[in-house]
Amino acid sequence: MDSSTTALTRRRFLQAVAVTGTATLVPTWLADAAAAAVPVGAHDGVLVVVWLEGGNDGLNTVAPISDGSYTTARGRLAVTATTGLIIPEGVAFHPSLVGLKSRFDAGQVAVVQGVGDTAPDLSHSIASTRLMGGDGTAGANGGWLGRYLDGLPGGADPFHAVTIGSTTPLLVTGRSRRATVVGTEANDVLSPKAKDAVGARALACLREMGRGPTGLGQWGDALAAAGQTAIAVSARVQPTLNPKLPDNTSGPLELCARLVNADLGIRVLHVRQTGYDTHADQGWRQAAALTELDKGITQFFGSLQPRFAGRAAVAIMSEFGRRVQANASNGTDHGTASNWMVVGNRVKGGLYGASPSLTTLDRTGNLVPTVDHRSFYTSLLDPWLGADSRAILGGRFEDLGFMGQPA
Amino acid sequence: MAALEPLDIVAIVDRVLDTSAATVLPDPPILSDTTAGWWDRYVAMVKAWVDRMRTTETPIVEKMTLFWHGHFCSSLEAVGDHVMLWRQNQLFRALGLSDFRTLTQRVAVDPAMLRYLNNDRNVVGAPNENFARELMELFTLGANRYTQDDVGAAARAWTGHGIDKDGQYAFTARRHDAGIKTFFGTTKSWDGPDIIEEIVGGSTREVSARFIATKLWTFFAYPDPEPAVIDGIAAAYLADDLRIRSALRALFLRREFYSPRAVRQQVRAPIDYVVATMRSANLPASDAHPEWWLDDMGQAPFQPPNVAGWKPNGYWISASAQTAKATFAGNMRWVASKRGLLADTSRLRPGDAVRYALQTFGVDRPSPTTVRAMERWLTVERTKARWAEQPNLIMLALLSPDMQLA
Repeated sequence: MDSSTTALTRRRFLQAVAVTGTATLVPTWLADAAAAAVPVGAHDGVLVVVWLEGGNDGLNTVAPISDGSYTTARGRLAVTATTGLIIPEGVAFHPSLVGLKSRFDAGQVAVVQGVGDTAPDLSHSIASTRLMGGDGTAGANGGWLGRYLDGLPGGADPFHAVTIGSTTPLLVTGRSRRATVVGTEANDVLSPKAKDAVGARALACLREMGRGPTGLGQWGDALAAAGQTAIAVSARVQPTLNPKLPDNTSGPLELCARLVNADLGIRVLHVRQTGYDTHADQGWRQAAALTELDKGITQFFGSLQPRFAGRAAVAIMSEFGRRVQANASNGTDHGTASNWMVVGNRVKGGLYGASPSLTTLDRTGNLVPTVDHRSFYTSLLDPWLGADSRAILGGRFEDLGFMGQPA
Repeated sequence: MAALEPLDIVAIVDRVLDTSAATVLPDPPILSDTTAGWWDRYVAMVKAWVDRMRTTETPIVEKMTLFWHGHFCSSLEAVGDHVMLWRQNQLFRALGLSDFRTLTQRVAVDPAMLRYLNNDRNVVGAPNENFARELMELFTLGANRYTQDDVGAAARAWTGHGIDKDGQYAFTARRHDAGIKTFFGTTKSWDGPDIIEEIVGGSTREVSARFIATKLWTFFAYPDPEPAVIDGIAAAYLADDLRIRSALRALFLRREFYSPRAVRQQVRAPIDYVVATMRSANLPASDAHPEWWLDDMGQAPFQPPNVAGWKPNGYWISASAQTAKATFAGNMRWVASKRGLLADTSRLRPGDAVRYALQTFGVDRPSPTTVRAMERWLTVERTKARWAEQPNLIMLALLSPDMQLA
């Protein structure tokens, strides 16, 4: 990092907090942390992960409509040549994915078929921790994107990675670092208005209280530290919360776009979306969830400034797919392999991997994955995030070649 | 607590566990008004429960109601029926300290649970595994204590147990798979309730006892307890026919419960934090509006994030949760000031005023760092803006790390 970059960032940061009227109260460590937050470089990729919680049915997301056994197994749930949004090679997107379909046609969506774990587990929590872990363990060494954060230069800057919500998933928790959790509501206690001297003095007290050690034990210290981070985060996130975020599930992806636009040095963003555990009434449930997903993706790319359009990619993942044979509740039980996607204008669009056989199943009646999930991660880590996937994943896996270089 | 004699602790524990004075919590009237909106009905449920937590004379009942809500999770969003969620909450209130066999059997046929984990759609010929798997993984045994074949057999055994058109539990014989199944190595015509009896009272009763003991200890004290702690609680529970009250009595009488590892070493879950504030400040839910804050803090009642429920300590700590607490405290300072809380501190010296404020919120032994910072702030504030003493003393006390620990 050259000194001009550092100075620029530090100055810009101090300007930012001056708006909130707290410039004179910025402690040294905070200015240092800001200095460490180098803006995303022209050749740095930014990855947004959308985690579809509950196990998205990949077979109905990217449906093998020309395979007769698919229609037989899924019955009324099946996406058909009439309802589906047909993409080449005899497969169709779920009818809800209108935006993704047009991006696919523009060559900006890579669909990776048959992604799964070599040791599949049908439990939500075990499958999630294994896939988030990405090193063949059930999360013993944190998550694969967390370990990517561990290796980034620039100190423990809270803005290397952000997760929207209220908790940090294993995915973005490393051995020594973790993503910062950002909420979607503005706050005038932690970021008082410019003329609010009373508020500024109370904030100074909060800072002093939280400087630690508290003498209250590990959790007291952890709460104090989180309070300090919340103040720093608020100062930088506050400007991105205006105008108010859309009050629906597109809100978190809109915030992601604004955070990328704010050029805070964020390399990884994470949002979770729920509603995919479709044991019953999958027809409307998955349609509703995928509609929200599709709107969110459209919102993200619509709000992303053109200068970041070539540097941001969205990866869509889930803990598992679902059982090939539908159950009697118009739903599907837990499965294994699924279709994952990556979206962005530097993505080399098309179909990757291989659609698993629908007739040669494992002993639980589930798909046999054709692509190791770590191969998917390798394809993102090396070309897009400029990382060493071998060190992060504990082995060499095939780069599927769906990512171009950030531009 | 540390200063008490052992005899005192026994007496206190028995008093805490004496729920003979527990009263019925009336159902919010709005739940029977079918024209009322989703949010209004939800708010009534949250307020009724939070106010009960704040005012109850038998707090252990509400503690256990919350524990079971996080254990036998169902969420309003997934179930889609306020009345079902409320009845489930009343079930936890009624049976939360009974025996684990009865409780699990009742939860299994509770309409909210039947719907949440799709057991109401589990029929012969095409079983739905959702409930069967979580029953073992999350409710009674823990992961890796069963095979996928056991899940399949348990799912078949639970077929036919559903909900009728009035929203009540109903068994439908023609939907039930009465065939032979092999579960935990035994081949017979298993029915759903047999599966629960086998797990909690049969071949895996000791595994199940340790699983529940660990979960209780984690909830009340700390995670990853010493094996002897779990042995002791599990033994008391097994010796008294799976009674939860006996598990709790053994738990509260453990020496480790009063050790430095346990006392004030737990991050308050948001519901606990908000209720503690309301109790100290004497704020009813109609003033404090818990429903406005809890979701952003990460713990909306009746809306656990997924079937695995909430987790302890570090789970609750994040920049965004701290921001949500700041928003909460920023609002409570005005609400509580208006009701006269800490109205008379200006006559005290700054250090005493700070200690008094913290004590008002139950912080008896504050961190010196907290006291020093607040004392310095108050000394200056009295020369700048005297009106700010009362509201900001309340806000800063609420945001002290001390107040956020239980």
